Amino acid sequence: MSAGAKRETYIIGAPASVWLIVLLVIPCLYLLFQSLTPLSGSGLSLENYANLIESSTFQKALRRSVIVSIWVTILTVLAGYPIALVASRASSRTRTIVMVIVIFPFLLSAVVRAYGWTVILGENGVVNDFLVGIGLIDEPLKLIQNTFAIVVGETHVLLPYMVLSLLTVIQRIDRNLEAAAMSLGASPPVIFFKVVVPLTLPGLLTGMLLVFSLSMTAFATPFLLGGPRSPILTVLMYQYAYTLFDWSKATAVAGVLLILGLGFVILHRFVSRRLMRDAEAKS
Amino acid sequence: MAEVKLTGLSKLYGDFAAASNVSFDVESGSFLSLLGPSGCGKTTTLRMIIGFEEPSAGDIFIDGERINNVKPWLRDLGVVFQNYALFPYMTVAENVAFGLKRRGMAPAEIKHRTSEFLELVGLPGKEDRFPRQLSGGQQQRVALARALVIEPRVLLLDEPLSNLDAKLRAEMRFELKRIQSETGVTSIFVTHDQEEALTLSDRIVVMNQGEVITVGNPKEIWEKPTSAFVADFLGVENIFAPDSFESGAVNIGGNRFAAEHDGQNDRLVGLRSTDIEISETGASGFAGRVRQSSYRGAINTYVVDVPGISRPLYVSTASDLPIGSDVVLKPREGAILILEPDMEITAA
Amino acid sequence: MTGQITERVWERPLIAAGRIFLWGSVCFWLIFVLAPVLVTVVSSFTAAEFLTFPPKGFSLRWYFRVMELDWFLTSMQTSLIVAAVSTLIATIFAVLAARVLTRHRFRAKGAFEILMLSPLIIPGVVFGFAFFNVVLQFRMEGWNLLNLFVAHSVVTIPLMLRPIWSSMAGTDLSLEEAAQCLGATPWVTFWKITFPMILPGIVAGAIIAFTFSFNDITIAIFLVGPGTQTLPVQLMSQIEYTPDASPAAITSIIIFFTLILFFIIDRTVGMDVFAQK
Repeated sequence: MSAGAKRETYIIGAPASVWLIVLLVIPCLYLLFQSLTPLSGSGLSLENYANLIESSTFQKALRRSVIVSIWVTILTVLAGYPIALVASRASSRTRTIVMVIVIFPFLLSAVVRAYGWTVILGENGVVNDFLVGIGLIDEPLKLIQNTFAIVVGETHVLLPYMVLSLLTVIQRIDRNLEAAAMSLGASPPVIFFKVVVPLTLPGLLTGMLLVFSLSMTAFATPFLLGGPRSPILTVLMYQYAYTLFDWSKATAVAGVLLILGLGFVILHRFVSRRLMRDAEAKS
Repeated sequence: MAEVKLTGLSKLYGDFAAASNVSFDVESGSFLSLLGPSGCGKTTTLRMIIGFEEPSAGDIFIDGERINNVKPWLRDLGVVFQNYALFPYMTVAENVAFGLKRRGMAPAEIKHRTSEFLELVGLPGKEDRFPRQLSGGQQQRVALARALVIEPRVLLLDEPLSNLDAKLRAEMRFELKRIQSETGVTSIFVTHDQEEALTLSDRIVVMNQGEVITVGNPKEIWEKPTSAFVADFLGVENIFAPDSFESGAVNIGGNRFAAEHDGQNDRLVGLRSTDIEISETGASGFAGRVRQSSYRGAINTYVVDVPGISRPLYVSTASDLPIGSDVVLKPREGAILILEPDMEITAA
Repeated sequence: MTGQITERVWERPLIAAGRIFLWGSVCFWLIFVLAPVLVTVVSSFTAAEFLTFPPKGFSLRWYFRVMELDWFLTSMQTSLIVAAVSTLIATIFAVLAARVLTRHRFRAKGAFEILMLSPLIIPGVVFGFAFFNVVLQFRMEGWNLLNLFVAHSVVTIPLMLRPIWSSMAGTDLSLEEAAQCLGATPWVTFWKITFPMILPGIVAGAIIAFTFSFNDITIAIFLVGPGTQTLPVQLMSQIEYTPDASPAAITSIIIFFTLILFFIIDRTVGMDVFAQK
């Protein structure tokens, strides 16, 4: 590699690198630094984190985040598999229509989606009006501004991720395998559970990991649909920062979220690489 | 037109020498081919002349000016790429005019020049077509026109004919020759096809494994190759070690034949299959037995085992000879090639 | 000899049930996906004073009403400006980064790639907070527009990078070389040869980035201020005080424009632009 070409690489690569380092990396590092310098000013320490972990608010929020994310993951799998299966077998036109429908909410703002759900799940919303109207219940159910609404909203947003993850693996299945199974006497349900599912397991696992991590670190939808009284982790951070001005707690939660986010990415890389290798070894 | 001179040009990638100590001259207005198998360094050398690779050592001179440090867009060379590299979103006219626009020529003049050169390459009237609407041969002509219209000092062609089918290739060969002599531009042509090199060039540089093996005009190189590699590359079927050398002669199969050689004992003998006379026993020459035959229409090629020679000999003749028959072989006078052993000879 | 497979009695109804279940769940989930959108759009045409579903009557009154709302028009304008400027900035950086990633070989390439994708790794809300934190330190919390331009241009770089990168990787190096031989300097070569060829990728990336910036709440919520509100953030606070159908009308307008954007993407670049890492 000649010296001139190397210099050229640095010149072209510098702007974007500088921009990101100065405006993303350094602010995040500064945030971490602040989280490690508690107000009881004695230099670096984990005091903020210790306080945070002990607080029941944090523990509740963490638990809520995890429960929500688990539910969301389960629901996206239940929704994703049928959609991906149908999409993969359908004609290209049907597949496009299905994909368009699934991806469309993805392009909308969280506010737009949340408003739609509010109209449906609210006190005077579609669901409650219907249930009261047919006499099933007397009082409207509280379906909004709580964990239930967050689960519904997040499932709605993250469904495309799961569908795409599954679709990719399902399409890669060798059709001959299914034909072979069928010739050996397997009916469609059997084929699904004994052939399709095992072969799509890598895609399923990475999809689940992806959805789980996105759900844990999501902000907008939980903020809009969950109440201020039962926040999840990201919303808790916002509350500490913007509403309570408790910088020690806010930066500590930020630190936790940062570690979670990074941890998920590393896990995701590791898992998908491992699964790809296994899949290739088996084929 | 300009004169090109390379001295001691080398290109190293770590330990690997893609080109080493490449030197040759190209006379102004002449056509020179760089000939050799893939990986021999001919394309690397060409790219160094164009300016896309920086030489690790050596110099490149055009008309006496050392151009090593001149940027590619300032070298004023015309280049025809193997895949033509026509700009897909521009019409034929815009492609051809590209270099002229860079040189600030007036639009009227550009238009005139463009049609002039399109006619020269045999594509009159195709100005408004797009590359994808043209056949491979036509695209190639556009690439040629684009390179020539700027009246470059030197024209460089990187295996331009290898993407064409055989018939088109033969046609284009003549076209290329015609265009080159009409414009008189100094040309350097890279190819692995010896027939092309022999047809088109005034001089040929044969390369192998990054080095120049031999330089000469087509007649010299064809009739009297001095290296086993070149001979083999040019299609000399029989290259083998003789029994022994004597002054002014060489012994093959127990017979003595006159041959000029430099007295080195490691030399190999080369004989074209068409340069061996073959006849039934009784005539003068060395003995052999026909092992295999291959009918090729006007001429048959026989594989003949000769005791004392490690590989069977290929002999081409119009006569019919049955397999298994004993024959007598005699090299045509003056046809014995004495070759430097720069290549591995595998036993059959 | 192994016997023939005999169909067991319960198998045929099971398969039928399975098929019904499959198609049923697909329909259910597709309705689930479309529900909020459909409900909002349909109820925006209500003639009544308050928002209900199903709507009472049909009227465009709320759409006309919306056009008179100052906060809607100013925040819409702000969002458009922020999206346009940040996309422009991000485009420049993304093109440069893609160039380095496709044409250059160097040891730190892996690290460079991770750096370019880092906004996707760090949770958006953490970045919003971190950026806001720094802004506070420099007492620039009043420079809302600038902060939004900059913050959005950072997070949209990886979004733009992928389509541009794949577009650039698909271009033929020999075309650039041919241009250089004909006398074009690297600058001219880029604009006349490379740029037209990567334009589809740039357009796709720009649409993705623009949409992201326009829709963003997570980062904008930290950086907006009294005079400068983006549409989503403003809409969010206004919804609380607005029981009528004007938010539905606004939302429908946004949905409509998103649909148009969708068609543009489909016609120009195709949907593979959404493929995951």
